[in-house]
Amino acid sequence: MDKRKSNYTTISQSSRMKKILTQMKFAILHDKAGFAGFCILAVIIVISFLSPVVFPLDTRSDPSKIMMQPSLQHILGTDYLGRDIWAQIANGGRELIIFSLIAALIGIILGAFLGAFSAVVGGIFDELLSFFADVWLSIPRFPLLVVMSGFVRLNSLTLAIVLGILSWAGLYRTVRAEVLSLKEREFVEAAFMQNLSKRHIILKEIMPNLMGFIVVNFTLSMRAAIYSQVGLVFLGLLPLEQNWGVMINQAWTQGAIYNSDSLAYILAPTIMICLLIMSLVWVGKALEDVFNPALRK
Amino acid sequence: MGDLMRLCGLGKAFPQRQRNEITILRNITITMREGETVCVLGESGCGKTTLGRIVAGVSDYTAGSYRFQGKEVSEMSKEERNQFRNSVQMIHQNPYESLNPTMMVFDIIANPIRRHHKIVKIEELYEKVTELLETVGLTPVEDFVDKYPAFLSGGQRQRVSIARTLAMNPKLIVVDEATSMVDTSLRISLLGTLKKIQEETGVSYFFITHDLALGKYFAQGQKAVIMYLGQIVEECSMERLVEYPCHPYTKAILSAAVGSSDILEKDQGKKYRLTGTDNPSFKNLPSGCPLHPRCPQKMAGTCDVKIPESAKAEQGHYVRCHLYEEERQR
Amino acid sequence: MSSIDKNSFLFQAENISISYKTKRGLLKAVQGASFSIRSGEAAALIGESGCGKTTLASSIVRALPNAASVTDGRLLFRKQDGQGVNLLDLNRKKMRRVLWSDISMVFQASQSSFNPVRKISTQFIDTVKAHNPEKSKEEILKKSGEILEMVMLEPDKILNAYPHEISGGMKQRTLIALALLLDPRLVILDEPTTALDLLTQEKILEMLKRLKVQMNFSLLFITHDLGIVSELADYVVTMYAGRIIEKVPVREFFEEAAHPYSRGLIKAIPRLTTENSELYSIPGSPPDMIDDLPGCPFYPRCSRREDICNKEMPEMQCAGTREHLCACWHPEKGVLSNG
Repeated sequence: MDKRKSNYTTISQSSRMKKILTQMKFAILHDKAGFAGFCILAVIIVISFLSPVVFPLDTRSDPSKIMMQPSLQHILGTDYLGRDIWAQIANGGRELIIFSLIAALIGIILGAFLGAFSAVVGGIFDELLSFFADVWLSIPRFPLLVVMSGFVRLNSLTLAIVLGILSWAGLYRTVRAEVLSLKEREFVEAAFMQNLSKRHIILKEIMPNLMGFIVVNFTLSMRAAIYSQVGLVFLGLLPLEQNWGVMINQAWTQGAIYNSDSLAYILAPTIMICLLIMSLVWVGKALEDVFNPALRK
Repeated sequence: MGDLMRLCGLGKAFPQRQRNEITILRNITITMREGETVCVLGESGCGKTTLGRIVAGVSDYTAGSYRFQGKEVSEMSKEERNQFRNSVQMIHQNPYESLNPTMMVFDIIANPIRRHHKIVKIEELYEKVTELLETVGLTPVEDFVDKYPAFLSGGQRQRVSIARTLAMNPKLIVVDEATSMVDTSLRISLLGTLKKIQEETGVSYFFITHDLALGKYFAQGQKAVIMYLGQIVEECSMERLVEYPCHPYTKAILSAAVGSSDILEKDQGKKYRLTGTDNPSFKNLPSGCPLHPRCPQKMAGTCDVKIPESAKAEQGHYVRCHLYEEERQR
Repeated sequence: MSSIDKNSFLFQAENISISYKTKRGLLKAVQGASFSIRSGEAAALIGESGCGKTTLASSIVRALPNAASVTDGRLLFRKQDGQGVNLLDLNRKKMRRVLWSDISMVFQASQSSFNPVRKISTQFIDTVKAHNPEKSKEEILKKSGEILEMVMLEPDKILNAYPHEISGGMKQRTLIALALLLDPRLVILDEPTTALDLLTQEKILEMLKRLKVQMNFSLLFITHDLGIVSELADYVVTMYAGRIIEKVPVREFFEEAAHPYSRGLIKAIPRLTTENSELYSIPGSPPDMIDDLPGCPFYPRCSRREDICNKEMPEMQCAGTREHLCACWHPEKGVLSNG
């Protein structure tokens, strides 16, 4: 903050880049959990996206190497078809990350924007939409997905889109409540008195106060999407593609838990999923602090 | 060159769920000219904040007339309304809520400038912002432009609030207890800044407070209006208010403001007290004069029956009290 | 632990230091504070917001937030039997017994401390039962009624009401009644009259004066409003940036305050009978208490400063009469022109 002192050009528009860089630095460094989260997430992302080149998947099955213990050749051992587990782990995060990202984005765009809009506009629109959202929320999500998977051929992408759409109502409600309360705050009233345009009030006054809230909800949506994916795959309702959820399913059905040699098979993907979700949550918390100026030095 | 603002018989009622509406303001009549200050005194709950919000254009009024620069506010066209909004601004009581916590001081002040003066270039904006910050005494300017409100004290935040309203070049500023959440030692500094601004720009103030001594300091030589339970009970110049208060309520709060120990105040009059422990409430508005349940000089049969008319005690000094009506009729 | 002066001191804070752990660093909210209160005395703790007065008072009743801790000093209290005890040494159970029956506190803006869904009477009953579980409901209500009458409230109306049904001034008086319920010997009030209007304020101050004599308790009240100091206090303790900088009897405070800050405070209040030209406000603002500077914290704003003020924190010295202590290298002398 002290760096942006004397020169006037460093304050507003012209130094947007510098502002963003400082904010990023703050986000990553200021909180221990956040820092750990960023590191873990970074490692996962790098491995997941570099893996096709560095750790290519073993596609051939080798019956001679079924469910082997971890060794120098195969760091985490082999699966029920003799394929290398570590390669599967390295490749397994990609889909989960991409598709949970898509699901969360769709959810946020639908839910948060509708919620904010509804709160600001009010009137009949607001009443009808809220009623609709309440009805929507009473639909049990998981059974619905299970039923849907019987009718529609779900793959990861379509699942992501469906999950996103299904989650709009929850976000709608929370964002709407938050915006309603923000609307009543004195500084918004002051903005009205200064005759600032409605667009300005929504984008510049209300939105920045909402960002932290949205970021946290975003990471939570991602978490929910990951769980849904893993759950569905575990139950065998999604076609098997290559991700950690699939690995757990295969390990389970192939009896890996009964074989003490292949503990890594079932533990590894589970731990990876936990790490991914934990790091997401920590990063979400750290990012929330970025949007609260009171916490900066 | 008429009045800047004229309230005539203004009233405000709020509809209630179970019963009929509650009347918060009744028969408010105040006139104000450019460059003038009107100090509205009264206790918490007497409706002065509601009145302030009506004057600032934030709330509507349900009875009577409010003319700003000759035009009736409730009948203004969209353009006239816009102009009205620009000319009347308000400084809120709570400095911890009136600034956007996610905006830097620079933007808080620059936004209205951008909108109303159509200045977009950053050099010009910065110049204007610097000017305003210097006017309100937040110097050195560099220390404040890129701070967020969370890093400013209550008094500093109020100054930012003042700078923000000044950016609109208003004609009338409603100051709603702007110092009550600021430390006592910093209050007169803040008010001094406001007075200086009035000297330099000729802006008018609608100054609301419950602190008599503060009102006297700020509205020296100007008009004072005392409110009780939504009505004006006395109106006169600030000096006369302190020297020759007429209405029993005015006398009571003056007496309370002076204090009983002789350490702070040299002049000691006799204490003037209101009777009873009655709690004034809008839900049970007394019939007749609103003060009669607590008035030590109540005249049974008159005070609890009829609402007193405004009687002239002296030139420019009006009281709504049967005591003075009687005298006049004699 | 009975090293208290035989001078009938009821309470003595010795060299108290309190620090907060914050995200920006260690904040020294109170440093080396020492003061004492005699039986039946009313002490006013004054200073700007952020000077540490609420922190100091909260530490007496163990109401500090989690991030704060007392890092040094003793809080000596003389119990009913004459024995002196360091409040910081008491374990939780013993402290709970002391709380409310010996020392009670009304916090700032605590009108929301009533449970909104229960009647006021329940709070009274719960308070007494926590200390004397053997008392019956009727006894408690009777005693509550007596105290409520002493604060000029109607017992039936108040006890049977819900918090939202009574006004702010009445709530404040009820809280004071609650604080007096167990006959404490020291009552601490944090900003007892802020947010109250003049007439209510007047009533409450008079009531406190009367009760103090009637029930014989000592009073420590925190405020930044010098008006009520003149009404209620016998003794004034001024704080600035976490340090106590002046201790003086009230009359002498207003006539001959020695510390430039105290003088500044007095000159900054507008009064009905003074002329505006005599008002004067202290320039600048209080320091950020994360920075630990060696000298007097008032240095940047003081008109009487010299080099030594920036290097060393002044000690408490006698300024005027024996009872008047001030921590300043160049205390002001002479009578304050009072208009």
